[in-house]
Amino acid sequence: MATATSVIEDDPIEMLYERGVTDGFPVVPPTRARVDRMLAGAPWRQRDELIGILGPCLGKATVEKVAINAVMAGCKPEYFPVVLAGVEGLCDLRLCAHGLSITLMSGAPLAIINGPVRRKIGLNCGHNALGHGFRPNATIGRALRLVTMNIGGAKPHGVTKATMGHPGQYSFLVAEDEEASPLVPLHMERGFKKEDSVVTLFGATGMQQLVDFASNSAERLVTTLGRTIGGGLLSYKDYPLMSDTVLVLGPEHANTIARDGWSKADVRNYLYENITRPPDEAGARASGRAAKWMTPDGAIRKFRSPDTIMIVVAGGTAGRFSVVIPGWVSEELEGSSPVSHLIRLE
Amino acid sequence: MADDIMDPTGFDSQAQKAMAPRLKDLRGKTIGLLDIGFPNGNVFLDRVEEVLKTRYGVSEVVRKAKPSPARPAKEEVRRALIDGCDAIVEGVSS
Repeated sequence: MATATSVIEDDPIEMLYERGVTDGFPVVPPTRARVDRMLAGAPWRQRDELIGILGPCLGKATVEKVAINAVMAGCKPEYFPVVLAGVEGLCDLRLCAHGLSITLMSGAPLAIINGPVRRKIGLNCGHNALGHGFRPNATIGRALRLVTMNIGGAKPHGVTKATMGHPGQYSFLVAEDEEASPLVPLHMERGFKKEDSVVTLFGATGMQQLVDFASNSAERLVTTLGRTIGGGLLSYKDYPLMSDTVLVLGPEHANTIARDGWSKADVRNYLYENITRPPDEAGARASGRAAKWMTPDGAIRKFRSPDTIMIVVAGGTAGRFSVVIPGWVSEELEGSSPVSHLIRLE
Repeated sequence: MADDIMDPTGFDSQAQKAMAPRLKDLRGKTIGLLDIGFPNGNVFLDRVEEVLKTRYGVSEVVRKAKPSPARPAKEEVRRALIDGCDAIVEGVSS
């Protein structure tokens, strides 16, 4: 007769729960055979190669340890090169993944994927782009979280004591729909070639839906989007936010913008110039940090510069929606900067 | 079956650090106060400094700060506190 103890010993899924190495969902048991198959997804890497040291507990992110966590996340071997590039990004000190993983804020790295790898492995860029239902989207993001927990040592109620957390801490990934987009892809703006596959990690907090069914010009639309972003999202004690911003434009919104001849750079510049708040409404201290970003007439800018905004086009082709994903503490306060790493596919 | 399941962890969860020896009393000592950069931390630590000096006879307080809570203190700040103080208080959030 099965007892409670024998169930755990005989059931690897329960055993892994007991070991405290899951994100709350069941994980795929990382048997040697499964891990070997995962490693074969990137045969040009040696299993004992050290990718980097990962905080907060200074764990050693070797290729093999990453493969074990990728198996647990449910990744296929063909996703492994993306996971490896993502872990290179986590180990990139400019991202400050250490701080992001133990912050009181609702922090999680957002992984933005560009390039041919998206179609190669079936990443979803269309309807439900930031949602559930697609194995590569779900499991690659999840692998990065399991790596952060199991190699970096960032466990909730342990070193990690985020006040609220957010659901993106299970998996937070968006693939740009370069084929549907009328605008230049993010990785090319960041210096890569169109044919490069790239993962960009952004120190993010939660996300907010942006709705505009009415605007039929770029200027009106970007004004609406900017006022929603600028009005509702305060952080730290100063305004503007000491954090950067990712704006995910839905394709309908992107087409409205492109139809008026605007580029992503035009959107950024317009937001920087025009989205401001009066000091008393923003709760800003004019004599403090915020003075650096005051306009000539005494308002405070929402964005510290156009370069603090990254724009990605993704989502369904039906629906006049976009999404803003505000950042965590930025480099302005020695926090996080976005990092982009090449995904090597052979 | 358990032997076939590989270990996903990459850090030593059992590693222990020894506690620094505790001071027997604070009179005449030099205490370091590190503001970790949350809002109003300086206001609270100003009061801690005052109490340490007036109530506990601390002779000197060394004040240091991080620009934000996001990263560890710079090495020169750490050294100034570790080498120059008998004990350190680090904090605090608003």
